[in-house]
Amino acid sequence: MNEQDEKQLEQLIHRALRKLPELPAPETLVHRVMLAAHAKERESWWQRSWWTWPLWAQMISLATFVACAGLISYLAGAVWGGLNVTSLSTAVSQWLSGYAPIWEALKALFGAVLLVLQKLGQPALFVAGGSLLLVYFLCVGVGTVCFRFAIKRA
Amino acid sequence: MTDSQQFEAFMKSYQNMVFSTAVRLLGNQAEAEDVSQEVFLKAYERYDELKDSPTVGGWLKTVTRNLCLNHLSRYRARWRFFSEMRGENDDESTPEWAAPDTNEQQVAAGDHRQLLEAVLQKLPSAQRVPLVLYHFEDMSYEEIAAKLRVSLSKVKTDIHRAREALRKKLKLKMTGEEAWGGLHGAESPCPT
Repeated sequence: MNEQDEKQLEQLIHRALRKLPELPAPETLVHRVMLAAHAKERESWWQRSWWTWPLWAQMISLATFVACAGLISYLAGAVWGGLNVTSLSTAVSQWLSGYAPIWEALKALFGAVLLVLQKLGQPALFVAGGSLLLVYFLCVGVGTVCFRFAIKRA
Repeated sequence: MTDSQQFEAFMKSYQNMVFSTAVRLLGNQAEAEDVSQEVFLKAYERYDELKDSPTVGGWLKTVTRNLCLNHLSRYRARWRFFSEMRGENDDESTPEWAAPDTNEQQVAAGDHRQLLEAVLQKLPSAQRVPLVLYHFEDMSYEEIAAKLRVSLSKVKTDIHRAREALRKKLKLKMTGEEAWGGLHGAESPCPT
């Protein structure tokens, strides 16, 4: 097809397509939208998108997120930097003195994990994989709780 | 008139335009209805700003187009893959449409339009989307390439194939006005 034919076809198709009338929307569309809009109006602020939350809620959630991220990065940095279990456990146990039983369990687990890391000989890779899994399951857990609490009960 | 009633009236004014745009881009009525609902929910959230805006039609069209492209981008890798695999055998893979073999001149213009609409919707996404963006949304080849994040040559090739598919499926005669009956008329020029 030469250039002139191509141009002719383009013009022909263009005219034909532009002549097409609008398609009628389904009659149920208005009803569907109004139902969804009213359902949305009944939602509490915490069930909506984060961007629409009140400022104070955004600030608190942001601060919580930053604190969690800070804690994770501190712990990861401590492990990465090769701090021994004792100094790390002392620091954290002072901080979490009210949660002694939980801490004892965590400490044992943490010690076991560190032992495994030392045995494996590739601690960096293992820590990275473990951290990713931990974050993943944390997200799944938090997401599940939010879904059950915020959406199912709405 | 309450806000809800006002919004319903607003919706009724624009629902055909939004739905048509979505159907032509998505090629699927059910998905188009979902996208239309999403568009109007966005409009509902911003209704106070939109109701007196002179550019509300343009806003709705842009939101519809973007939501449709977002929807399609979820399947982008797949349709790009198939588009490139299709290659030169494209005509064989376009869906069959039972175009009337009898004298088309006797078919009413309304039937031609239905036929064209149906053939358009049955085109593969890789061809239909750039074609619709070019001819209905008045976007240039360059804008389409940027929007779809594909090369300029691919956009041109896909649009060319789409036009060829339409021509073949509709048994369009390049020089014959009669083949298109009432479809012709003075319309806006092509984007380029």
